[in-house]
Amino acid sequence: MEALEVKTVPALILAATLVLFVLVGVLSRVQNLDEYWVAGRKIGPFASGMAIASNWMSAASFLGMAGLLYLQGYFGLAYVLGWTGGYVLLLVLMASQIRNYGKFTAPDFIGDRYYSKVARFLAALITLAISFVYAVGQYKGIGEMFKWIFGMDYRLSIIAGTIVVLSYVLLSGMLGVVRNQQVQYVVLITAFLLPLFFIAKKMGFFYLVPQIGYGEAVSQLQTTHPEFVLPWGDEGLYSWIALCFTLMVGTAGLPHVIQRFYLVPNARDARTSVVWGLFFIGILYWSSPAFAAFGKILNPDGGKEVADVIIINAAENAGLPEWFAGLLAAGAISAAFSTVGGLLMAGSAAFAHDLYFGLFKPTASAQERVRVARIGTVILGLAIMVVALDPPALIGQIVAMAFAIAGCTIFPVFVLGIWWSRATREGGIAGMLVGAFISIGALFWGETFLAEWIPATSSALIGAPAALLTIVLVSLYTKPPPPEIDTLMRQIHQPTE
Amino acid sequence: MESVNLLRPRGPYFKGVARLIFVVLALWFLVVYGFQFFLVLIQRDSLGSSWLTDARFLGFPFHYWFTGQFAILAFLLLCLMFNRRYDKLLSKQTGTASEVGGNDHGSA
Repeated sequence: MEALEVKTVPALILAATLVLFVLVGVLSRVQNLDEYWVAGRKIGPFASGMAIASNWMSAASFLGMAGLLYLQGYFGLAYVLGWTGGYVLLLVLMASQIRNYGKFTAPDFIGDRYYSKVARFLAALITLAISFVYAVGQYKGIGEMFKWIFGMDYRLSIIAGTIVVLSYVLLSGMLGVVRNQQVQYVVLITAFLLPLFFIAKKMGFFYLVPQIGYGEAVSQLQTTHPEFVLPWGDEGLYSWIALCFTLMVGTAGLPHVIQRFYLVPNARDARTSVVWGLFFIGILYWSSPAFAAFGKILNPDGGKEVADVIIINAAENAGLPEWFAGLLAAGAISAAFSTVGGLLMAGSAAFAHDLYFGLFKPTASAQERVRVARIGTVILGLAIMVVALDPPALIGQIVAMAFAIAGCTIFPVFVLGIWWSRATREGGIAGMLVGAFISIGALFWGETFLAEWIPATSSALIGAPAALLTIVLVSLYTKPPPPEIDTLMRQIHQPTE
Repeated sequence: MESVNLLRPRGPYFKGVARLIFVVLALWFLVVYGFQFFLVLIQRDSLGSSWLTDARFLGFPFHYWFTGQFAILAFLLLCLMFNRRYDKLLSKQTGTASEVGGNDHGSA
């Protein structure tokens, strides 16, 4: 085996970042700091918003989006709007109501609102599927970054990356690390923006605010590479709209996004947190297109090979010292690790709590539950690795598929569950099944004509309305919900602050 | 207690909420999708060139600035507007109610 060409400085930055997050996490736990309270005092929607944004940061927003913008130009903006605009839907249709319901998981709410263990079980399975696909996208990001830092080939990087991320997650779990989201956000956004300033400076654009400075770059590209800039240079109107809509309803349908709202003390704070969250997310999403534009000027023909690592590529080609790119790589990996950790925890909890113990051993001890959850984490972590060894698409596209599933299933049952008392158990189950069939089917029906109208990344434009219609029709033809549901509806809609 | 139906809101509070939701979503729709339709409407070739892609704003081709920058700002403004109006609806509702939550106040 040949010697690996390890980039030492980036490797050290990566190690330092991971250690930093674990340390901060342990300190946060020791001082009893959690997401929202510091020494018994409420932090407020500002900090909560930062936590929402930090949660949102993953390999997709760090690497994937710039990559898709690089490859597809204006079409990539559908990702930008899709992953921000969904928060408007969340705020307007769900935030207060979810908070009024109280502490829960998405399957819990669905099980309660649709008064059905079957609905709950189905929702838990769907949540697992969403988490799985989402995690595959993160693994690709981790793999690409390990490949860049350690000079291994992609598959070896995936295996190495899996070992490291599983160790990180298990260790954090054993130390009882509490994720300090605010620190993470600040570290990650700095890692992302600092190189951007210097790339803009080196290239001679307005570097004080590169998010505006890159406008010149785009105008330049309009002459050299018009397909990059013009609206339908890559794909047409339907594809753009289908993708954007899918990502938006997917955002409002992601279980781990919805589940954040119980952390704030009241509904009003929930609503304010969303706005702050959107602002902090916006900072990242205003900046990604800049990386893509600069990267495109410096390396116009890199293609798919370079897309998912374009932010690194841009930093290198702009002539920045290696540690800038190292900062980006470390940031991307940390963001991905964080996301994977959350997904694995949720997935293994669903496996241990809902499936294994619910079905087989309801009287298991707490210790046994923890042990099974840990085993579940490893099994899940390895299963994801198997798929990530041969990734079906680019990072952002894989993650978009997870959103598509969420948008076709969870979003419809939540919206109708919240806003229509008449939605019944049979309607909810039927709706989830229809949505799941369309969105998961879309992952497999390859190059057939269906793929043109219901693509894997954009199935919710058809899938969500189909699910909504199904819920409505089936509900109208089945027995109305029992009176307890009226009480639940009253609770979530009560006009309190 | 009456059932909840977003398309058939009952009472001033829910009517206000429903109207607010529709207004915000209508604006949201226009900024995102309406703009794309407009681009198609005014385009002069299959790639989508038009006077909006020729125009410049802050150094950007205007259409790119609108979708890539302004839209996110619009989302923030829409959310702020929603929250403010919603707070007003809430204070009117809880101000006129004899007790908070649980009661059928605001029913038609």
